[in-house]
Amino acid sequence: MLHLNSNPHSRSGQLAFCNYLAIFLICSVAAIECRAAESAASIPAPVPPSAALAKPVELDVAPRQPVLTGARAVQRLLVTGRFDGGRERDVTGRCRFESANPKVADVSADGIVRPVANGTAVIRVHVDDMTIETKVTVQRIEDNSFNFANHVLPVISRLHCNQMGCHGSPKGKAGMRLSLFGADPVADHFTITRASLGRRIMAPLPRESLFLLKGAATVPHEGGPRIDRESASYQLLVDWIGQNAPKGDADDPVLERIEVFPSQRTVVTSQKQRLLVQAHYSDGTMADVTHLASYTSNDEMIATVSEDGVVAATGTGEAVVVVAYSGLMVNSRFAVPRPSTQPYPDVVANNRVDELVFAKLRSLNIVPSPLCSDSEFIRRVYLDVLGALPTPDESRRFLSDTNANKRAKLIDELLNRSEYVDRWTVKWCDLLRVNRSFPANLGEQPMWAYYDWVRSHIARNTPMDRFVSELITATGSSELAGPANFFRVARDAQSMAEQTSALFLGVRLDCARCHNHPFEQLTWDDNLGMAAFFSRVKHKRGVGGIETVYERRSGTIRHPKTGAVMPPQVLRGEYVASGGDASVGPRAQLAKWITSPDNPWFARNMSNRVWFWLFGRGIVHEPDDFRSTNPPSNPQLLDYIAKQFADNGFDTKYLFRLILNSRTYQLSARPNETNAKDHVHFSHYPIKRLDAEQTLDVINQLVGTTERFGGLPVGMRASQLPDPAVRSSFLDLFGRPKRSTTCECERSAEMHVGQMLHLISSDHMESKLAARGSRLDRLIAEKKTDEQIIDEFYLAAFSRTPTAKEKQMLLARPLDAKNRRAFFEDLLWALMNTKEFSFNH
Amino acid sequence: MLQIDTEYRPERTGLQRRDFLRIGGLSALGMSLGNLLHTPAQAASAARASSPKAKACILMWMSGGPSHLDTFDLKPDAPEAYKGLFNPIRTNAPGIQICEHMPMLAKQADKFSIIRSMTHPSPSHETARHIMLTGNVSARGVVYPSYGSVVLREKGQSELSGAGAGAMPPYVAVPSAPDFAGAGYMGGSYKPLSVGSDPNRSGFRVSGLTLPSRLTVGRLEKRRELLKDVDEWQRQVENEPQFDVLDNFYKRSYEMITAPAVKKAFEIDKEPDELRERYGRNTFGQSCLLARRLVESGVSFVHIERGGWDNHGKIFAALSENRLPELDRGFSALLDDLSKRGLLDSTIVVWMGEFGRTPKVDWSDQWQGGRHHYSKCFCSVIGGGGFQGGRVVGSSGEVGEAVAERPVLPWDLGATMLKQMGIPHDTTYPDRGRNIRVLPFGTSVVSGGMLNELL
Repeated sequence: MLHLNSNPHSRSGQLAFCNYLAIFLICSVAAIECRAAESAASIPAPVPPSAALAKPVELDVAPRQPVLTGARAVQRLLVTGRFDGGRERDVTGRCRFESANPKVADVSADGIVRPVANGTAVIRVHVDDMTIETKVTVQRIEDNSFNFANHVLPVISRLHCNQMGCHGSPKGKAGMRLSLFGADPVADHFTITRASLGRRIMAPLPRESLFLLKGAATVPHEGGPRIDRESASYQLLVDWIGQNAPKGDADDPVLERIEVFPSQRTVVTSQKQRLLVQAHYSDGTMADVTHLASYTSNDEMIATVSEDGVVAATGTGEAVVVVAYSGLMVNSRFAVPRPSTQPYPDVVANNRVDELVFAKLRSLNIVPSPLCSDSEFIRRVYLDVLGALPTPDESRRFLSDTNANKRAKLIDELLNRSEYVDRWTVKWCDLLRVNRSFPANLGEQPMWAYYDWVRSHIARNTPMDRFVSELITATGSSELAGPANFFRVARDAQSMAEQTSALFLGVRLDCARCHNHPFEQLTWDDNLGMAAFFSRVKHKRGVGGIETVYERRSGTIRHPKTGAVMPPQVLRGEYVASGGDASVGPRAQLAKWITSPDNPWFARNMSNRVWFWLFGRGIVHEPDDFRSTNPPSNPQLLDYIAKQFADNGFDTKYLFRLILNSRTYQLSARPNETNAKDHVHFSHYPIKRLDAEQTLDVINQLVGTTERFGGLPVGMRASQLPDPAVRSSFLDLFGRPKRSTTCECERSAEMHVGQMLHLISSDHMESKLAARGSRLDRLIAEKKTDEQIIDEFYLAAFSRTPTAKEKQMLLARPLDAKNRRAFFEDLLWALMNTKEFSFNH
Repeated sequence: MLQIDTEYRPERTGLQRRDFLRIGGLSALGMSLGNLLHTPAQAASAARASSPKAKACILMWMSGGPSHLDTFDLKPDAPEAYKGLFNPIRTNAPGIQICEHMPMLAKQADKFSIIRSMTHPSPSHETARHIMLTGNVSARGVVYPSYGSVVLREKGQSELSGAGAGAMPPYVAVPSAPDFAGAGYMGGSYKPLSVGSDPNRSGFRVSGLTLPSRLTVGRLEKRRELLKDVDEWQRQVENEPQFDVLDNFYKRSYEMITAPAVKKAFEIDKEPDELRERYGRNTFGQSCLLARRLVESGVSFVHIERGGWDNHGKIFAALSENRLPELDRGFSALLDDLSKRGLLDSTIVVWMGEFGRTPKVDWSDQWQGGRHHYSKCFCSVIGGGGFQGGRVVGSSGEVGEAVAERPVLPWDLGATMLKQMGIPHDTTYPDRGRNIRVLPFGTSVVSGGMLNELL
């Protein structure tokens, strides 16, 4: 987030990622301590058989017909039983294994096949009285050669030697620096075998190599013992060093993909499931790398995973285990349904969105809450879409409307109101960092140009692909061409690339700014390749702070390490040809790629954002953090809304309509006993704290007062402010962002004591209650009865009339002419401090 | 053009590899390589074993970046282009000289020590403020909690007894908290309470804490009763964690508003006029006085915010006419007052800003004698809370351009401050599923070690 400005004359820095000194870079991974040393046994302990030993009706073995290549190959077999009712479970621990041809392949009691000679062998697997067979092929048994990247580096990674806190730190540890998570095999091979005069290895006496003496802590090692001298990993390293620590041949196969078994499974609480990870290489061979992969669960309250890849269900819900091996990642999804004896009720779906949400809920045995009431709906949809409350008249009209279609009608109405434009302009100006002062420092006129440009597009509901293309390709004067300011908020090519990627693809490239991304298959090259699209964007200073953004006819970016000119390259290495069509600059090509309906990120990210804005939680969450280690909670749902969005011309209002009309959006916020703990599958509407602008605007609406913002017309609502440079201590106290990052998380919904003190007893709030000409004064002037005033207040605050009990309780208080106004002031104070008022629900 | 460093370049920090070698040889001065190589577990147990010396901390934040060369590290022998317009004067600590515009502080020099070898990599305000106030370099997405928030989290509410003393907010900013004096990833529960108004103004009151004139305690009580009655809806949505948080904040707020001890702590006009004059009748002076009252009332951490130190132009007029005289009065009065009341031993007083300022004076027409941002080498001042006074730590080069000996990184200072307050520097806090260390001190980051020479 922070850019270190080296110009001492500059009075304020740009917020950008720290790129000044890698040594000072405390990345988020810095906190990850070196993990415990590898255990002696690198083969997982067998899973104890479950108490309920029902007989399976069918068996399956993974992988099917494995091929073992080379002398060191091993292959685990994973046996799955299918039981009555369709449930599947891991029965490997209950199996007896037998090789029909031990001269070719041997199999251990726990199902690990080892090669003996070239040829084929049938392995028989027995469970109870059932048997299944699988054919195993052994080839190149004579081959004991090593390829450093394929065979050795994964072992070093698994021992955690190259983590951020250890030798993977930017300056290494104790003089040895490895690339973070093994991203650079060539450099690592050099470091281990050749650097420091080659003192780290000793081929004639491999066990005496410093590399192993340190690793096993035979000589003092700050990181302690990392490897057990009895382990298979140790033996592998000894053999490799014994062969003079080869790097491998240029035409050795390269790792292409990894695969995990099972890729998804439904389990019950306390049940365990082993994972099996297979690597596939460019020559068509495969290898079992289960013992070398690393595993993390995205929700340990639901399922945990051991270092050996054994998953244990600990709660109910859905968890995803992310498997990482040599920079590649795959997921295995575990559903743990809530146990229940009740039959699952019928749930009506309004549209396809509901079908997908409810299917997921059903698989987890979670029942959605009922439909919300009309009062709840109108208040909710006004707050979400307009950031405002319905007036008592609007509520009365809606509540008394008997048209069955009235919710859909209301949704259409709201999407065409000017408050819609206000609210969503604020949202986009947050993301685009529109701010005349620090940190964007756009200056006043350019700020207005940018703001007006955003606003006009929201007002016209410009298709999102066009909106984004205009931004990415913008040029011109900062005061005249609003979108040109996109390239003033981010000033260098890498920052421009990171901003573009974060906003429109939901991919955080900044972690890959100085090293490969630790939690994603993103590399430094991805960051630089994206940056190359922006390498021709330049700034020209004019008089009076005006700045012109233009595109030069040429300009390149070089790889900081290799010095090579980086070709413009989109994520994951697709090349975009540039120079072929000179009339189209690199940014136009990038815009075309990003906004294509086939782009794997754009439609998903944009529709996920809209979902997040309405539900307070994305299907991918955080909404701007798409990566394989952060999977969607409902992939089918995300795919569906993304496709609908793309198929309907990237029409934002279409997407709003689709979601708002779903029953899912219209569910009650009151949880039931089955869904109270669910916060990720949308089984009930999430209760949301109002944001800063909403809070101030609805308080003024309720009391019937206006706010005064310096230099702006009286009566302007908080949602109409162009940028956070308009002073308001209230808005700052309630979490208005300074617009310093592209992150949705910058807008804070967090509560703190200062807010409550302000609401309870500040001069600001008290002056509102005392203000003349307020709603209360009007009602008193209109000679309304106490009961009528109470009704009106409740409608204004909650879009409902008070219950009989509430009314009775309030009317029971003795009122005389003298304390009448004071009483109703107190009532307003009380209403605005209720939870029913402070939250959207 | 864009520049990316992947290799460690020690020359950029003003910290050379040979500094590390030298540090290795400095064990006679209380520093050893052992400090640098401390494993976290050892450090933790060591810090926890000794009972904390300091109960409170007052941090004087000189927003803008005060010139080290015109305050606590004067260079009278520097070449003309570097030398400022001020002369050094002797202090009551042998061998220590400070700026002539701080004569009262010179008489209190036995109560504070000067660190003349502070260094960090950022000469830009925001980044540097984050580094100095949190002891961490921020990476995107992670804003670290300020020292005050860490102390709040570890110490919790005030332990003093007395009517409503438990209601004292533990972390207060006077008059307000800048960015990064907040709770960062820790969230709203650990934010400072900003008093929001100038304690030098007549009729000073804290909005929200002091009731508006038309709202009596009795009426507030009535409103609370009414709120209880109308807050019906929450009963329909049980187990909503946000509600518990909100309820808790409301409860704390009522306690604060109604506690006599809280009210009393902020009544700065109860101080004798003479003492108020001694502190200086200006925002900074009265902030110092209020800070003393707050610490006395059980507040664990006070952030004093004072701007006006970003002196790119006409620095000597700005300092000699405004900044230095008020600093001289306020700082010296605070040390004197705390000491007389027996509070100095248990209260850390630390003076710092984002960075120092360029050694070479910019006499161009545009700036007419100014100094710009400079983080390679600058000063901080610390005293009380178990820190020895009358000492100088480290030194800067001939013109104050680089650390000459004994580098002190912000996290070194922070780790020592936290240690004095009984908080191990390797304490971790959870954030979105990860555990984050409170300070990078003790990891692979550059460090000059704990300030053991002052303890």
